[in-house]
Amino acid sequence: MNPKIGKIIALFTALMIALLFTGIGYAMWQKTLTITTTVKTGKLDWEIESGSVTIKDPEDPPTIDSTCDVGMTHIRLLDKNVGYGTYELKDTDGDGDYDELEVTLGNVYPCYYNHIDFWLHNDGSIPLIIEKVIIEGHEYWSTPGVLNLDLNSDGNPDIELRWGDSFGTQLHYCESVDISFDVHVLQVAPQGKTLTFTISIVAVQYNEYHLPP
Amino acid sequence: MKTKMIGIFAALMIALMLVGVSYAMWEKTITITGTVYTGVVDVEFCGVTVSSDETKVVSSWDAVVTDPEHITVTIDNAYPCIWYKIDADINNVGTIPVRIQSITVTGLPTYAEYTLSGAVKGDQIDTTAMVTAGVHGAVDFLPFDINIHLKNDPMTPMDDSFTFTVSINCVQYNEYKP
Repeated sequence: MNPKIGKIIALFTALMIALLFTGIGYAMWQKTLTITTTVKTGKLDWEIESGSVTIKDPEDPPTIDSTCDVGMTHIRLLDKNVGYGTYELKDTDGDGDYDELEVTLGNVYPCYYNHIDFWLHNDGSIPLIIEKVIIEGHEYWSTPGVLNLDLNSDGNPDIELRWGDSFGTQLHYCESVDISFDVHVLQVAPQGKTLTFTISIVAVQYNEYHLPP
Repeated sequence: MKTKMIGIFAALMIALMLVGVSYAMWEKTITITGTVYTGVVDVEFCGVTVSSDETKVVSSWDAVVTDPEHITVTIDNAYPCIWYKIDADINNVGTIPVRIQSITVTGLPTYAEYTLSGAVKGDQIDTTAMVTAGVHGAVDFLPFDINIHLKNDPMTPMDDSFTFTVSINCVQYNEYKP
């Protein structure tokens, strides 16, 4: 055999043996510790309680209408049943609870007054705080008092709306809070029209609530 | 003449025999028997606790050292903006000092973040025997903590779960690669 080839074979063999030992050494002398963490997130959810909605002047049973003075003062009964209020609860996101209250005031007229009351219920798993309400696109972080709303954009307010104070109320799991608002139809409201307004109530998880700036 | 030759041959044989005997007498074998007891690289978890900065009791958790090399933590009813802290101790139960070669975190979603303190790459954990022997500066355990936080991210899902894994690879101290 050529001595050069013999040398190369010997060198290669030695290298392989060295690598083999090195490999065994690394495999033997280390250890890995493992921490496996599973995080299950909670759910922030609240609902309008089914069966909690009451309307001072409902359609059924027929009820005598009410009125009040401008500024929501001097609320009193009239002597006829003309206007009325109805409601429908909706589950708009399909999660099994009611998140929208659609109130319809029918056949109403200037000076007509009605009062709508309902309960909000924490059916999630995280405490929440009522942060603000958004009435016709305007945010309110505290009781706004009596609001004049121009619902047909003719420059004149059509109704007065008074929102009850629930700002900052905290609801733990399964707790409820009573919310209400009043509507008063003003003199310049148009006849034979449908006027709609939207109120959104925003709740946040309890540790994300911040007082308004 | 013939007798003389026989005598010389016999004398030569006897001389050679004597020389041979003397070689056998003047050698000695010394034997060294070596026994190598190899050490052990072995680390394990020796405890774990979980806490949070919640101001209310909303979330719950469970942390178990399922086997000496594995901790399983479950945090239930978690929500954004709360830090959950996992405190654990690594104990060197082997006979060789070790150093942390790597710490890897896998499976953490983008809407969650973590910090790790108390244990970094290169940290050395000595053996209990070294501590018992009073070796200066020797420590045979390493406390560390992992803090998990759900971001205020619209992508953070409610009523969901994710699992992530933290792996701490320890190697013998002299094989550590910076």
